[in-house]
Amino acid sequence: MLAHPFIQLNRLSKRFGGVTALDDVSFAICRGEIHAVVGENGAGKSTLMKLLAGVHEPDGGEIRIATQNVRLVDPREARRHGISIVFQELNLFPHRTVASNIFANREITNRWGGVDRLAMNEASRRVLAELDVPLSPDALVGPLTIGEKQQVEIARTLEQQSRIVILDEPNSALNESESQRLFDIIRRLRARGITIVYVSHRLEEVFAIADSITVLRDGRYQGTYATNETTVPQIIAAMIGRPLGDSFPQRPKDSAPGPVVLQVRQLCRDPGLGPISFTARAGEIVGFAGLEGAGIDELFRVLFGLDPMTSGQIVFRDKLQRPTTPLAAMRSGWALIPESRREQGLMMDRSIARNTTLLVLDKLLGRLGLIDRQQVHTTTDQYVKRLGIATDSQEKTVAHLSGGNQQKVLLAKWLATGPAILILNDPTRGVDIGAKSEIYALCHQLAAQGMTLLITSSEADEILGLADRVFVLSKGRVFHEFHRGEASKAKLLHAVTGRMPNESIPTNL
Amino acid sequence: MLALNPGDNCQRTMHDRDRKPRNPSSAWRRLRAVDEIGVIVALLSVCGLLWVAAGDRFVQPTNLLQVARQASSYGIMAVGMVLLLSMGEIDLSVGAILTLVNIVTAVALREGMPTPLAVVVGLVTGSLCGLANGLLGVLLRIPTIIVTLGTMSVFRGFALVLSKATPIGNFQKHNLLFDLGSGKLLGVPTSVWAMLAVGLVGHVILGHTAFGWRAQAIGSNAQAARFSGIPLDRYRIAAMTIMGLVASIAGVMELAFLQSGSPTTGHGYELYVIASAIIGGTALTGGSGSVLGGILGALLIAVIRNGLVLLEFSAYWSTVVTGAVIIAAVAIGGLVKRK
Repeated sequence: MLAHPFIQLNRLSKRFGGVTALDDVSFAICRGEIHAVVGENGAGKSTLMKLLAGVHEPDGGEIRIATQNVRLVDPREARRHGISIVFQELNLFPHRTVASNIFANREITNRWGGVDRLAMNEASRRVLAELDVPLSPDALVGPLTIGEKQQVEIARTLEQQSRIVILDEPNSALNESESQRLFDIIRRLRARGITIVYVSHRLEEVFAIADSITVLRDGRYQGTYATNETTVPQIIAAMIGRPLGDSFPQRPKDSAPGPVVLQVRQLCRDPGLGPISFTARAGEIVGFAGLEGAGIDELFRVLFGLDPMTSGQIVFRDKLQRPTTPLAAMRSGWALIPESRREQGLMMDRSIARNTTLLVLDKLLGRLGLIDRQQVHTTTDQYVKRLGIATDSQEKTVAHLSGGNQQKVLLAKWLATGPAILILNDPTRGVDIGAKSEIYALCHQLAAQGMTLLITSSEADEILGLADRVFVLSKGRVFHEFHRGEASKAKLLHAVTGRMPNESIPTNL
Repeated sequence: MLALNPGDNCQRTMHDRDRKPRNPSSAWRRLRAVDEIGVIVALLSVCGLLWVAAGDRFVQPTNLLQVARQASSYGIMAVGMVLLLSMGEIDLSVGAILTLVNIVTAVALREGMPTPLAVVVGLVTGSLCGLANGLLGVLLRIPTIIVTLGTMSVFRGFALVLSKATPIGNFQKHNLLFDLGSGKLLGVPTSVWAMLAVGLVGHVILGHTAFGWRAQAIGSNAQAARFSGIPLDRYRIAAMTIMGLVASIAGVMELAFLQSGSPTTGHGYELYVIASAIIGGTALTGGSGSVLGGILGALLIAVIRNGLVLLEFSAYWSTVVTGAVIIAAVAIGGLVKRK
């Protein structure tokens, strides 16, 4: 490949409110190469891509394309410079045909100003043929597979004569053969001299397709590596950076887990989950690690009665359980802190008090079975103090609290039910560092009191730092079990891709 | 002399006038935070206007009591509607339930059923209508707005079938029900007392019971409510049934006052009932609601309809104006409350 810098990023930085998403990032991308950008969640990959696509403007620094300084003030301006982006969430009109999606907003018109379907179909057919995609321009987009929809989007970028195509996590929803298909198409684009920026956190793919790899961590540039001169461990080391365990409080010494209280046997939920078997002890923190779609969300939903199980057994404290509804699960001692606190967790337009006491109103009744506001107040006050929720009034609307404080209200709401098993699905998402370590300390404290915690997180550090044991899930099954101290972050990141920790990943496929 | 001496005074007055709206007193701000402030302001201004335009005819006690009695029909139902809306549900069939209960009870009396039993039959009929609405919505997974759009026609149709589209009045007029219906307590018509009683119960349910708090939680965020173990379906069915019961109370009261069942009574009430709740500060999007506001909203609509009669609008035009004024009242309420 020509080592001629085509896109030059100079000292780019971007802040959102108090959060620094990108900090002084500089690197170059050569013309006609496939350049991967990798990093963990929150490393700044998406922000960087959005700067290139004109979705956001940088706070500082410059972007040069072919030595020319460009200001990408909006997506249209980016497109004018030949930059197209294919987002993870595809951007198509399902009720329109392939051709009208390829030409969306740039329809070919005939001399009376009407849409010239024939010309559009003809041009679409040409572009699709160039990518060797066997789709009819007349087909409706709605019923296509995700892979095919992605091909339509890529065809659109080609029709727009793009010089630079950005692919944001393009493989996350594709199966193996669809991925291979995508790689073929990407190589065809490269053969036409188009520069590809490929964003992913799945190293296996990156090593299979990219010419060079840039690593970001915590919004900072870590280095650019030629794929044939680097190894997976080197890239993982660059992605992880700081040693693990810094922000995790030491667990109290006397925290030997108690007896086994939970036994899950051959649990299945069709399609795609199970059979899964595991046990958990009182006072134990059990971690679950896996990629999107590995089955962790599905497992938690079944355990909490949100989805019915197909077969299997859940035995809790020697009693067979059939969680058919969340209410039943709650009554037998389960609690679930859901992944999305805005959508699944909190009543955002209601007060702290209303949210905190929602699940225990039955215990706060006074005369005539009416709600005793004094008891509501004292209960809320107790949790505001215990969890350190920063507010001047418990009547404050939850929407006006910071992410960390909202998360604490959500925890308060469920702790008020006095659960024996607490499921935490990504409990520190969108939470500041301070509140994070408070939540970690709370987890330790709850475990020390004998509660069983089942936890997953989008951050591998968090699972490793908190859990006594980690189950790695892949394709809906338990793929591996790590005991405390056994797993390193590198091993865990290997294992979640469905490889045994001691297998090496081939670096050039 | 005036022109020669502009002086300080003039400037200071200008200044003061400038300053006032920029620093609204905290009392005003607190007032604006009251849920019902919109409807209170609207009610007072409409009453003020009518006092000016129609004079004594409007403020006469007999007229005001007449207005309150008219309001009681929608006011009673508005209580149920506030509960439904704050849960994120709606019922378009309330007017039709009122009509059907009105006819069913009248038919029961005509067939010689004892009065208390006839009343119970009416109330059960209305509750079953509400239950049917709830069950259809839950079992068929259809939004209640669509279910009740259909049942509105179904219930009204049953009322026409039962009554053969003619009023039913050939029964014994001297009994407890009609004495109550035409009677007064402390000079106030019984139906107004009924509205206040239903309102009080509704207020307690919404603001002081676990059921009411959870219902509002569902309206605020149904998905989170599901994750919180609140049995959404049961709550939905319960609330629709309560709405049916409340509408049948209004239907029986209407019969008690008019002393005859009429297949046209209750026509178009769904508009007034929903408008009452919304004018009263209950959000269509759910999450919270005010029973007091709903009743004040019903009063406002009754005042508007009364005013149009007093100002001698033709009946046809007053239908047009009622709708327009309702939209204006909701808009004014929103403007006053906007923060």
